[in-house]
Amino acid sequence: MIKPFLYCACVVLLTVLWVSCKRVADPCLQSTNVSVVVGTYKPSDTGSLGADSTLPKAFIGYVSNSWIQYYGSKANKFYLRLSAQTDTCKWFISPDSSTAAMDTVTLIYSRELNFVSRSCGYAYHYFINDVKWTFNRIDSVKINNNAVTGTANVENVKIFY
Amino acid sequence: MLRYFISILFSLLCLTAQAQDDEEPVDRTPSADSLNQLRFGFDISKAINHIYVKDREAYEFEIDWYHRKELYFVAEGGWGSGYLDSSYLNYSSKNTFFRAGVSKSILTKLYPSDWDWAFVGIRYGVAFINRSDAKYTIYDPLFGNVGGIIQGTHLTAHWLELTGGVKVELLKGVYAGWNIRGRFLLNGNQFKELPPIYIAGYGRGDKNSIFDYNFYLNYAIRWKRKKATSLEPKN
Repeated sequence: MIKPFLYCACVVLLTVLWVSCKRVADPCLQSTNVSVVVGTYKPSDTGSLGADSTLPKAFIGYVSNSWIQYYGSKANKFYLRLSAQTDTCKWFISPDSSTAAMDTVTLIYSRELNFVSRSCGYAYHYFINDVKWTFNRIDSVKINNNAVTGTANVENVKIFY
Repeated sequence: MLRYFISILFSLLCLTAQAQDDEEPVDRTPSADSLNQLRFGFDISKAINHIYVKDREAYEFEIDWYHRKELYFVAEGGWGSGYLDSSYLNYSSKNTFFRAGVSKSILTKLYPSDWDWAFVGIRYGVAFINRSDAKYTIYDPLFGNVGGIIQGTHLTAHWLELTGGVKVELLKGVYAGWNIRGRFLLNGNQFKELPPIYIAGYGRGDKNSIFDYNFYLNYAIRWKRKKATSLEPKN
């Protein structure tokens, strides 16, 4: 009977060593800040679907802190952030980087605190309630999906030029 | 998880069986259940583990009583705590726990005083958890960091576990032995939102299944079993 005991003591010792070596602080490997996905479109026969419209030299930033997110970007999808400290966020947008006749887009939203993991703690998810914009260059803005939760392949806002 | 656990369990049981075959042939006539045995144990592995892993501690005790036919009734209990102190989240939890179940020896006694055993068993476990207030910080270089506090709460965890292991009587009444356990949380949904850091008696609060081990030191007391009195009239 003593033989299996010795075998098994070895197993337990190895397990303890394994657990001890494996025990490291879990790093947070994901972002706790989610972004609003904004697509730019031009009106088409398909109605609210629109047709993709690539902005030639997009210039986009945040009014509250003058932070510039995109400068000279040729794209039709933009990832913009919302503030977790307020319920509104205003962006300035110029499709060709000219500062003349820039538009602003204001999102009004509610916030929801979400548990991510023990490693990363909490993150805010947002739910867009309303959108306001200026009409210098923008034709219209539509909320496509109001839940800003970081889910892949979800476009939240459509801007029509 | 269950697959790994069962594989390991059976591997070890095979080892035990192999070792038994190596020993000299003995008369394997089962002994009569003439003795009662009550055994107390303390898990030294958790105490040692705390020396190396400061952010969690647990103290586990067990009592088992030999019923008959290699069947033992087992009660286990203890307490413990854990804490998390990271830049994102800061909170702690502490709990007491109880487990109850049965263990069945898979070896036949070689002689009446042979109390060594290899066993398999099943347990039901419950833990009463006190989770502290949690301070969180969400880092945001663009708009500024946001922080807050999540209120602490009381939680209850229920789980089932399968276990197996060996215990060897080193001196008269003094045992040492280990067991491995596969645990399966029954009410895991309750812990999706800020789970306890560590549930003593179970393990990580954010896992629905856990693999764990114990290394017990036990002391047993034995006394003679009363013989059943016959109700048949004497001729």
